[in-house]
Amino acid sequence: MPLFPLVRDAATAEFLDGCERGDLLVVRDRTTGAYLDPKTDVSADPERFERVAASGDATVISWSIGHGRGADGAPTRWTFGIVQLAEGPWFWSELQLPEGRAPEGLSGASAHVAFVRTGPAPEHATIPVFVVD
Amino acid sequence: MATTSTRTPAIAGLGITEVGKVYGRTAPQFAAEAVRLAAQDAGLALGDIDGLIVSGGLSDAVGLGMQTELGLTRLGLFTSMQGYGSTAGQMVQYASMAVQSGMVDTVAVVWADDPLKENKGGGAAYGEHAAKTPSGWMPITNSGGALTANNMYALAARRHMDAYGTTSEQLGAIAVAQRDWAAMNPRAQLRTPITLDDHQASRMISDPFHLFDCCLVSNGGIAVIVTTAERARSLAQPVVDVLGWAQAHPGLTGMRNDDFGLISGAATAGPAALRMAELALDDIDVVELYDCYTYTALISLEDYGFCAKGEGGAFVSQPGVLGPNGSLKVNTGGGQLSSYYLWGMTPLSEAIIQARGQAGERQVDRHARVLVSGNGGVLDYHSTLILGNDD
Repeated sequence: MPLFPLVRDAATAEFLDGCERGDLLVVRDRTTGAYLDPKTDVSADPERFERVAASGDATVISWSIGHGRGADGAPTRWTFGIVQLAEGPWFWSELQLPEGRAPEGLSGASAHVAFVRTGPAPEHATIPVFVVD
Repeated sequence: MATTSTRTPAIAGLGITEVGKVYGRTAPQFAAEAVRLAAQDAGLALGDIDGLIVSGGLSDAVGLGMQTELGLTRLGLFTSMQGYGSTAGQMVQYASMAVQSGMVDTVAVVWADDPLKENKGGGAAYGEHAAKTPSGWMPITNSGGALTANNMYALAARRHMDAYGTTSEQLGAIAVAQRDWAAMNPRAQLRTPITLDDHQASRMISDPFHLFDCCLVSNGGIAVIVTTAERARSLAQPVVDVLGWAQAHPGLTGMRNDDFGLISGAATAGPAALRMAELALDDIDVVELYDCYTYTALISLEDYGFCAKGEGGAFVSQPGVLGPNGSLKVNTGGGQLSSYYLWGMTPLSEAIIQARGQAGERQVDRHARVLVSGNGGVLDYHSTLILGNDD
């Protein structure tokens, strides 16, 4: 569950449009074949960099459980972390756990991408989350 | 330092406003007061200042209006800068270079912030700021769970734990030791000693961080006056020489990947600053670290070389190492965890106080060489200073 709604801007529009379609876009360097962080500015050299869909498979690198309070003051907890995509880049994201799995010892676990809307309004973007296998 | 210049830089003034839960004043007001206090501390008039470097924290409200506020009309150096937690150290470095070159003679560097608002918790101050912007790359990260610095540093600390077996109890040893120091610091916001059990029982903020792993949130301002050592000797305070300095900014901010959480800029900047000062680590008497989290202090100790990489947890939890009776004098005012959180000005101010020999009950006997760290972003920006007092 995203912590708050967000909207597209010029820098993130292509990435978030991909999420809307169900594609996790990373950046590929045509000259080296390397896959780069989604935040890489493709417009810096469009001949060299292109956005491509990642497989969505990943491994959990690090994780935490955030503790806070919701708008109503009630205690809330959320699990999040860093995953390494199968293509190489890392991504910081919400982690969702299968029912019955305790949020502990998650580092090294395999995960796969899913997509969630950040809010109910039409302009609210869809972002990736990673579901621990 | 390794130079033939007679214009070696030194710190001649320190101004600290009331700090902590201080309401009713803005960051620019704190900043102006801090500069006035620093000039007074040095025995200077405001008109003696010919250089001014300003910076602010979360509110980012300390800007170029400070010149008018202070009535400074003969500035030969004036700028606003931002390097997050590395800012304080960086400001002293640029001031030192300006003084050394002869560009100006007397530079005031000032930092202030007012994130705390009455009837709102400290967590709200930083959390609300992170959630304000609803577009861009960072909000994608924030909305996905890494909402605040607490969450982001928790991921770094977890990585260190996974790689090296560092434990929460070992991090807690840092919190306990620093609270013991804070008990002797009249400015400290938290002065009641704590035990490791208290640390473990403190509420969870972002696993593995408990409340006592996390820095305070504070209002206030601190200013430092940098001039030539020669001039400083004729002024009011013991001279604190700026002997060495360095920065390290590894880049790939927010996407560090492989070494995230395992190494900081201290590993590069520490040796470089020591080389400039023509010192070895063994020469350092006092260590004032940027400790936004217990983990940040731990990784800084490793990266400076006070212990081997990965052995920080065992090192800090070893009896007789940290704390007022320990062999290594670290964060002698209580640090950002227990005294006050004015970003890099917290370790810098305590370093100056210790180097001068003015720390009262908590004064360290040997205080001729002091190492100061600054750390910003999530281990993204780093500054190191080596200060000295040969009086």
